[in-house]
Amino acid sequence: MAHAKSHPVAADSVHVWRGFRAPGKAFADFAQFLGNVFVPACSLLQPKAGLRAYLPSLPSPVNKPAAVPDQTALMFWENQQAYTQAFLTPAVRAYTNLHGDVYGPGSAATFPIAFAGSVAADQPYHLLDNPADWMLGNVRHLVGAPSATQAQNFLQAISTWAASFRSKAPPGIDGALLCAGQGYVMYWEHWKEGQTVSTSPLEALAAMVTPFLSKQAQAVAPGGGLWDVWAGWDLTQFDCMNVQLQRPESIGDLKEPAK
Amino acid sequence: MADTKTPFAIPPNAVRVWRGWRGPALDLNAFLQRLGTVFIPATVEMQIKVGLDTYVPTIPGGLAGKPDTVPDETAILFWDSQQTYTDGFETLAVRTYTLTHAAVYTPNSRADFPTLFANQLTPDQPCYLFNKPADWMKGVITHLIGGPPANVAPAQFYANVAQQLTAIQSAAKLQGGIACVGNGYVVSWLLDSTGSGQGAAAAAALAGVCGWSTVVNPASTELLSGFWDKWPGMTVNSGDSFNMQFKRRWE
Repeated sequence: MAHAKSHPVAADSVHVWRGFRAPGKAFADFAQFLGNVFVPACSLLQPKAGLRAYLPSLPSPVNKPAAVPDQTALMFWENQQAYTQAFLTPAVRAYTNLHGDVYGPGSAATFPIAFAGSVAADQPYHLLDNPADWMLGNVRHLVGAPSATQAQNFLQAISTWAASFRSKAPPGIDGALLCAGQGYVMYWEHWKEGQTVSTSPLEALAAMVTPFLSKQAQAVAPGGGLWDVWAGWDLTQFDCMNVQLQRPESIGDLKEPAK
Repeated sequence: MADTKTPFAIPPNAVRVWRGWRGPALDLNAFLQRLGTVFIPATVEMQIKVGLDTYVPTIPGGLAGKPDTVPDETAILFWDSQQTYTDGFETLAVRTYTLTHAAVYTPNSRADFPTLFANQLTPDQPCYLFNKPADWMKGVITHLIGGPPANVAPAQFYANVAQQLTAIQSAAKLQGGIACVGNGYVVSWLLDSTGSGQGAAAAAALAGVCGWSTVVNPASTELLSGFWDKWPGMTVNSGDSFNMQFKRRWE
């Protein structure tokens, strides 16, 4: 795959997803569905409608508290309007119909707002405000549950950490996203292309939680197109991906229907 | 893969015969909207490249007097071969398409390949009447959807339908025929490429052994937009029937 052209998008143009398995849905079935169909479908059906970066992850299910999401994802769009407009295409409507019965209560995707000093439960925040191309460069991702010592006032502790991060973010990081509840935290940081990933405030956040995923996202291209023979991904192996999308130059490529 | 033969001889048994009943998750209007905005366009757009040759969806759901035992949606989907259909599941497009349906239909909804009709019918086993290739996209189709009369037992209903199918098969005036009976329903598609009216006559004969029934001629319909174009979808109403027109991969 040729090196992709950089295409930064606004810090608030990302849908921050936390998915919880439907009651009774075994983890193996959940992972298989996501890997065989859902994650590949997102990767192949939505870029032509404006998806600019896609980072799906599957935290470890081992001893994971129910409050910690079973799946996380970032879905960056050209802008927030592009996300809405994408539903005007049959392709994205078909993808949306896939959600079916695999996800349970608590699953949600929302756009982030700028962090302004305190963290509200289940509200995603962008800790930095500048545009970034999350498909390129490096992304580190942390998913965890409050450690025993942090169970009380967890969101307050997270707020304090976020304020500290915002005041002294490493220069190599041009994007950071945070979402937390009483029983979980999800955090992503984006290192600019060409920057060496090094020590960051993520370590301080990781020390506050029991991690169920703490990784640098692996850049992975889809193994085939929509109509190719391809079984999809084994998400127990590819548990933290930065999917390398085939992105059109602009979503101006979207066509009005022929008359 | 049949990607260069023109015209390609589509086998009479390479067809999935779909009988779908609307599940409780969607009311009728939402069901019709979902069909028009997602399912019918996606069926075409996502499956042409893996060998879909004909797609004829019909929506009896919502028609006055239709018994609940009669499907809310029927469809025939012809492929290059039965193997082509099976192979399609190795592609993401077909896996995705298939799973979009999960929450919409009742569990007894199903699609099956037909077997050659030999004077008897097995419930929920579709059959085809003429053992010869045909291109159903290009011909005139008459589609019957019906249910048994109130006072006729299932076995007698199946026998009555089989008797009519035997007559249609023996007359050999049609280019194609497909039928299926089940608990409280019969569906049949009749292909009359010559426009002689034989399809309508055969459908009328089948309607004669039904209680409630409806007969439609699927309208040749072309999608006006591509899969990634801004397009709200088709308008679908109760009783609509479409013979979707598209360029097959071998054309």
